[in-house]
Amino acid sequence: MGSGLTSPYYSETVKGFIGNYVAVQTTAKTLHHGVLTHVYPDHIVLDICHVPFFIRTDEIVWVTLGRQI
Amino acid sequence: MFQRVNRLAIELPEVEYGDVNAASAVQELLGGKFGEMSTLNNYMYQSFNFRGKVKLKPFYDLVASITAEEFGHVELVATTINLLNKGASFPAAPDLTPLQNGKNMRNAKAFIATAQTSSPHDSMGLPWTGENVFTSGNLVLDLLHNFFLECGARTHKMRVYEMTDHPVAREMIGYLLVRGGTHIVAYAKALEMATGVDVTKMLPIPNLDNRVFDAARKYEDRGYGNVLFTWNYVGDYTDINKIWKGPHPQTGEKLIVKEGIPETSGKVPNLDELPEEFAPGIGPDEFHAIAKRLLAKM
Repeated sequence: MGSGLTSPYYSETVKGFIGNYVAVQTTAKTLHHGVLTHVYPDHIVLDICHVPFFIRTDEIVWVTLGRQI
Repeated sequence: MFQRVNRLAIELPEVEYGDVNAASAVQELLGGKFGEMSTLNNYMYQSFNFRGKVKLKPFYDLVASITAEEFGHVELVATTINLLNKGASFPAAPDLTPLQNGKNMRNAKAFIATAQTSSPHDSMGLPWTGENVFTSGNLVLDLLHNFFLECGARTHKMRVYEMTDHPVAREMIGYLLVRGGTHIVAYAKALEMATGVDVTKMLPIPNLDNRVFDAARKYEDRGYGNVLFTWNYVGDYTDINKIWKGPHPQTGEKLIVKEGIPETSGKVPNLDELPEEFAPGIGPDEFHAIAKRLLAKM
């Protein structure tokens, strides 16, 4: 049940943020900040302090540009 | 007496998105047993109640001046909570249930009682209480308590830092880790002056340097770990320099006392109006009428 089939445009839109520091809100009501390194049809890869996190696209509510301090 | 300056201790970043459940966690640093309400009220009451202010002036000066700083810390943490409480509701007519998300947040009461702002409670909604104030009147015991309190406050800050990576929370905690660390050393040095015992050998508690925390590093680099302020420009509380002197026990940097308040500060953010919360609840017509009354010459 890849989300690339159910929300094909979302991954394309998020690709525009590759290389940027982003904030990702998930359905678990958690917020994560990191550098977006890869976008695949069913997951994204977030580099958080040089540690990769693989977040399933189905679980993402929104992605936006993050604020780095 | 107290004076007030309409500035924050540091500039907090302006971020378009919030993290409402992070605001609940940060409440522990405000109204929790080891929060800023506790540090403020402990030193404030100890300063009011100090027996022998003349004989033991440097010690009185220490708790009195740190009280003023802690007022600003309470303000900073409350402001952080207010900035984290963003984006959970939307302006709409009541029938459209614009506060519906509040039911799923950890602090539902904030949606009902405080229009999504801070309150003097901990992360579980328990009210801060005067029972958190220890003012035994015995100098060494009160200093020992303060040393312990600041170490507990540091521990809680480190844990909340590990709970959220929202930039506003991290910036606030980074700064307060450094200033809290300074207060730990201040009370350690006061204990050394009062008893001859060097408790700095126990530090840091917990055993992790502030520099491990990204957000704290720049404040360490700016020397915020070596300075105590007098928080006034009329020469009060300057005898803290009898305690706060010599090298920093961990970094070896010279400890300095600066008169007045820090040179750099942040602006107090203007919080959004939330019509769905009826806050501030002043519409255009009412505003016009208020303006007319305020500006009328009597």
